[in-house]
Amino acid sequence: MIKKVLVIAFNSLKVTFRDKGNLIWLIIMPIVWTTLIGTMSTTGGGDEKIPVGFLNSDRGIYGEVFEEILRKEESIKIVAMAEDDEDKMRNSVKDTKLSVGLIIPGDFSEKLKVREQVVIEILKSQGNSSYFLEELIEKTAHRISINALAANFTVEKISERRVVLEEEVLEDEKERIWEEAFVKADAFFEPAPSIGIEYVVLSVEKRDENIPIGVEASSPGFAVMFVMMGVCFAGVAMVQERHHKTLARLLTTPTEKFSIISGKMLGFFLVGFIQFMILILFGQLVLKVNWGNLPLGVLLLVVSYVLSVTGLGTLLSVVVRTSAQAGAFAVLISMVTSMLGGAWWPIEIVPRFMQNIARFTPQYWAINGFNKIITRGFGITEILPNFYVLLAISTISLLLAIRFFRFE
Amino acid sequence: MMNIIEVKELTKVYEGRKAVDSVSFEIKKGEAFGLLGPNGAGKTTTISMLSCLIPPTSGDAHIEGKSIIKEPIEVKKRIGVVPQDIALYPTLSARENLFFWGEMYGLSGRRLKEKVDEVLQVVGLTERSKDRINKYSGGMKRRINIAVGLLPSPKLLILDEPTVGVDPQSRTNILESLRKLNKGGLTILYTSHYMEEVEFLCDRVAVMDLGKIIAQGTQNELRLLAGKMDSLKISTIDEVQMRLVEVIKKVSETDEVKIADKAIEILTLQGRKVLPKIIELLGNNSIRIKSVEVEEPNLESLFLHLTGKELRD
Ligand SMILES: Nc1ncnc2c1ncn2[C@@H]1O[C@H](COP(=O)(O)OP(=O)(O)O)[C@@H](O)[C@H]1O
Ligand SMILES: [Mg+2]
Repeated sequence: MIKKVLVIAFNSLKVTFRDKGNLIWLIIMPIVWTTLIGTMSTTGGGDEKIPVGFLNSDRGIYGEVFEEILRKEESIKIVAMAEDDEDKMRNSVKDTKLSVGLIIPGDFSEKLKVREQVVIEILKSQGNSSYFLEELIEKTAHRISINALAANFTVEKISERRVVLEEEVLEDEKERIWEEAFVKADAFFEPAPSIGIEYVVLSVEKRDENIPIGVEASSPGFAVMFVMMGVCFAGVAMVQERHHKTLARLLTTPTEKFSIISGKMLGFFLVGFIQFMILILFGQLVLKVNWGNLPLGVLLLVVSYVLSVTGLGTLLSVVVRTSAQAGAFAVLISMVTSMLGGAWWPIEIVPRFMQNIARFTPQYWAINGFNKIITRGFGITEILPNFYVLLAISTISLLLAIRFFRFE
Repeated sequence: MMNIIEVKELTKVYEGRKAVDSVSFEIKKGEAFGLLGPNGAGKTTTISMLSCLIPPTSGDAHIEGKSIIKEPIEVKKRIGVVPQDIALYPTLSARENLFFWGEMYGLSGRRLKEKVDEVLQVVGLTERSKDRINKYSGGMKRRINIAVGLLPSPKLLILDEPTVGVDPQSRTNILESLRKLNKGGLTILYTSHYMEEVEFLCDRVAVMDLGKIIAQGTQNELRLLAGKMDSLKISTIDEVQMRLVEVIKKVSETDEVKIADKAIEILTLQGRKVLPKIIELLGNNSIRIKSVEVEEPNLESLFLHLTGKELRD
């Protein structure tokens, strides 16, 4: 029995992939669309510099130095804030208008001069993890702390001289002092005034605010859309099978009805699963989309999503009479539900009621789950709700499909 | 001899209409049985019930004692079915199709391969077996369609109009292969609306119309049913004088003689015996003969006789 199920599924797979038109729609088109639309939208958003809020309350010069050093960085844009704009900056960070906000305290220079611990604050929003930015700020802070150290030492040395000799400092002597300062600075490192960094994580009401762009959006989006189309096309092939009477002929062989139905559905599932794997590999290897963040999560979502579209694809093939109708419906339904579900553009940008409608499509749950993995780096527990919803859709659609399955 | 299949009062009602109406027949082991009838007679519906595709409204049939209602899988293990339509995967090759269907019939491994080679041999398509079905001619597709039915080495091969849409040469080809298989011991249930096919292949025939079997028996039994008269049609070059009517009647032992200036039509019990005497008579009267036609009763005329309509319309 199991063997016949597999034979039927494999045969279905063979028939589907032998059709050159199917190959174009199942593999070539999604690759082209993902690449084209994905790279088109990155060139808009990708060139932008990361906005960094900078609030300088420092009464001395080190705060300004800090700002100058950061301004030389090509990838970031400093947005200077007035001293009493702290609340405004907090809100901007919450709304992700600013990636992070930096607060330099008023006693920054004073404390550095007397080698005391000083703390700068970095505001960032929950779920936002720009390690690059954090590292950059830490490096800069470190550099300033050493600068301060060296400067202090030099000033100290020169004033000593002036007191003792009351004479001009010679050029070669200056060089010696510099060298000495350099070595001393190293020695002074131990009790160096450190700049502590305190991260203030601002909680965001909607934590999914981080919108995927470019190939990060198009790779899962179009994979999801074209997999639905692929499975529906397998359904079209079954409508043809009804016309060619091969489905009815299966019933003249000593094979249980249920084996035939399961075999057919397993065939649909495999078409979608294989297609999905090819598109994920393409996204990962060629477009460098980070599908590999959470392989188990990706697998759960792929399996449950493909199961749910298998049910829907079978239902389509059962409802529709001619294969021309089925083909048209396959394209139409996959396109429309994918648009609604957020495959074409981020669901976050559409009006609230459209976002609510989206929840009725399996695409929404799959894409939302993939975004959690790829863009937001979430763990398996965050993926499970999506998995459960997709399983529920699968169960309902598969049961309906079995109930209404037709051989003729 | 043992009956392979026993059909008892099989009936199928569609929307209040009886598509098959209380059909009964038996087929003995090794027999070729024909189900002859015009389109819409109910042949396909009968066969669909026998191959467990649709449940009968009433009645039952047993194949080697297994009921089509109670033990469909056991029945399916014993039959090979060749449907009216070419039920093959058009984008797969003949060999791929046969391998798939063979596995569906429960064959595998070396046995499957041997069987595929064997049936390809039988239908004479070994050379073209790697071509896709959609590259085949109608006749070749039909032959593969039949080959699938042969894969399980069935106790009974059921064929539903297997030559529809096929050129005459392929048709002869198919019929001859089937006759060979039958002579080799294969029991066959063959449906057709072509009288000649059934006459060529089948030992016994059931004639079907409007869901009912209207006559059943060996070919000779059915001929007798149709009436015993042979018809002789002779056309001549010279005129036939009316005075010859009485002589012809006497020679051919019948009253059914018609003469129109250059033609004679005779209905007689023994056409073959009478014909030489008539020819001699005409020669003696210096009447030259243009052509002679002898018609013996066949299933076509039987059908006409029983239903008052042509078989093929
Ligand atoms: N599924 C069906 N529903 C309703 N009527 C049917 C169905 N199948 C066949 N019939 C009717 O039953 C009769 C017999 O059809 P069929 O068995 O196909 O005849 P044949 O094979 O001898 O040409 C026809 O009148 C046909 O219209
Ligand atoms: Mg028919």
